Amino acid sequence: MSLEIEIHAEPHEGKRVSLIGSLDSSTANQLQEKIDHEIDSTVHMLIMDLKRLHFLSSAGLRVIFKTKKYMDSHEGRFMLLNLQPQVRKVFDIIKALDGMNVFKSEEEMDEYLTAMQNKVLDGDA
Amino acid sequence: MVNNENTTWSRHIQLGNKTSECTRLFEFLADSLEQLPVTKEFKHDLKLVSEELLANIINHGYDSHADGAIDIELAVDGSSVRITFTDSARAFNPLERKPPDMLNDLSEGGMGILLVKSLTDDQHYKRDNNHNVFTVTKNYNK
Repeated sequence: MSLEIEIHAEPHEGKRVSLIGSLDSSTANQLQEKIDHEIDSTVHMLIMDLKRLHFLSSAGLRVIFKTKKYMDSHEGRFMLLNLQPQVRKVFDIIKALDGMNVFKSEEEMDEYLTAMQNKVLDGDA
Repeated sequence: MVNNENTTWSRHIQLGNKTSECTRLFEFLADSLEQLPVTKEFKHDLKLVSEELLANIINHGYDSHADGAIDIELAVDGSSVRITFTDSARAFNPLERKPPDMLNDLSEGGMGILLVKSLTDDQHYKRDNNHNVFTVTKNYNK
């Protein structure tokens, strides 16, 4: 099993990290190194897109949690997108989705971002 | 290979002490479970459980650069799949690991064994003749 990682720029000083394949004990370091190299405090929003992630184990979860913790440390937003059922099940067992922004689809995430943007424009946030 | 009267059939593989062996582990499981009348979800659960147990042995049993073998036996009877991991690393019982700290620090350990316990029906550890022997059982005819 292998892991492919694609990182693209997003609006709102954001980046999207798309994971393809398997995030397990043999590939977790690959993601950690990529995150360390490409994500710094100038990134204010990180979307982790799991649409094409077919397998996730605890080694991979640890990298995801560390990344969220890093984003929290500089008040960046961290969002999980498109969790597939078998991946969602892992998060559910660990009860790890509390306090996370999780979106089932691009549309749902866009609605959230638009609402956040409107709040900023209205001076509420 | 038939080990006892309750076992319909069993298969075995030996892996090395390195995470890249995940690939061979996954191939072994896919081949072994191919003909079983179980769901994709059942197969995925066993794949995840096996990956967690392999990672446990590599990370907590053997020293990171030590040579070491991990023997895996998968046995099937009419109602369950039993997978046994045997290694000669230092004594390590994953069932004694603390559960993860859900509220404060999920980046620390303990998640793997929580997954193993959640996704199997039985888990058993014994130290036998200087070997760790860890067995999980998952029923498929409930």
